[in-house]
Amino acid sequence: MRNIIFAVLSSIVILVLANFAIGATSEEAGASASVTVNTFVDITITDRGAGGINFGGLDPGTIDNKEVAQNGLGAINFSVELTTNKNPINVKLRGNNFNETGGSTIGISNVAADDDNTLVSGNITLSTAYKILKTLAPGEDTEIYYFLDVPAVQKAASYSSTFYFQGD
Amino acid sequence: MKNFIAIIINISLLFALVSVFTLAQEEAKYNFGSAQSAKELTIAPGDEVTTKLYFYNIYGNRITHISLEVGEVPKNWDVSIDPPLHETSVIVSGVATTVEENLFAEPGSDVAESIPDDVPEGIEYISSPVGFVGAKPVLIKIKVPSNEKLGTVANVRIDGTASWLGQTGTAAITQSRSFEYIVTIVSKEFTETILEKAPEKKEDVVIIKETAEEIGEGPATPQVVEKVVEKEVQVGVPISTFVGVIIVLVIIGIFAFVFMSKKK
Repeated sequence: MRNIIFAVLSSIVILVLANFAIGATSEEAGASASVTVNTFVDITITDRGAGGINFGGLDPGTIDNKEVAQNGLGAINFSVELTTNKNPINVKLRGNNFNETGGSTIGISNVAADDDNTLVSGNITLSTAYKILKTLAPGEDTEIYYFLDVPAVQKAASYSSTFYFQGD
Repeated sequence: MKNFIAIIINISLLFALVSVFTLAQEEAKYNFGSAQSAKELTIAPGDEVTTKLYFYNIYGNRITHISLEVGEVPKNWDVSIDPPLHETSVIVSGVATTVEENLFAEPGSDVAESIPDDVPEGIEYISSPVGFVGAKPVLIKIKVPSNEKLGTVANVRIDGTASWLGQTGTAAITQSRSFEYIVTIVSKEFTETILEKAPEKKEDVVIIKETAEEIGEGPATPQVVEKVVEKEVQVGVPISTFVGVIIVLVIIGIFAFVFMSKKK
């Protein structure tokens, strides 16, 4: 009788140990892990002139008129700060048409932007939609030069616009 | 002695004037710094998720006025921005004006090696590539309708515009930036159901014998119906089951011990 009981108990112990092994295997489940690094974008626009883009007084029918502050350096310096962790950064420019209170306009397509003051290559014609001038890495910057053509038939008035900059 | 003091005072005043003049002539630096905390969001139908955008102005020397608007959102979704767009009264070079903005970031946002003990109200320190930056948070709350279909993936875009006052040029300077989110609609509770479609296996194909031939209406082709097997899958052995087995075994052991003791 004792032998029978011993055999039964031994079998139970073996079953328990087997269950342990199965249990251990089953509970070794993988867990997915993920991390999202926050996106930092930090751009400084340095205005070389007196607050904004200023072309001064111009005659009708003149072309490639420089922004008054760009003598050697650009009218604007576009700097991607080291705080930025997105690379590369597209330097995008756009603008609104120049308007005056009487309703006349100067189309924004009369404005060219360039990064080397030559208007030979690498320049873009502004529009109301963003265009990429160039790309920069964090810690880099570029000068931006603006040139305005005044149409031959253009009403004498003070015109204003807004120039937009985007780095993404 | 009096003359000496007068000379010192005059020199000091001269230095102060030069400093003020230099400051006034300093090139305007329009800085627009931002951090987006999450780009991919999950949300259950009828629920609301809140995420943050941060804005700071480390390198500028002008106050950055920031306005935000919802640029893209699925129909019937509700996206709100806190603080909301509002008018702020400011005085620019002695002239009072108002500006429409959600928030402003003053120059000189703090950059520290660690989060300071005294964090000013309305500021949160975020870890950036240059250290901990004291930034202003903006809450973006996205609420989806309760009938939104599970598995839907949608884009939400917040458009930000930074502007600076006091510009006298022909064209004002503005920076813009978009913050995009990919939002996925998921269930609140996790369930996994395998729908196993197995037409190739014989046991899964059932031929319905009740054809027209059998019911006496002449020959007809047997109809084949695919059987769809649906089963719930349970992953892992629950610990409670295992503990239960152990307890039962212990009870059996005690019984066996008692039984053997009585035999003696």
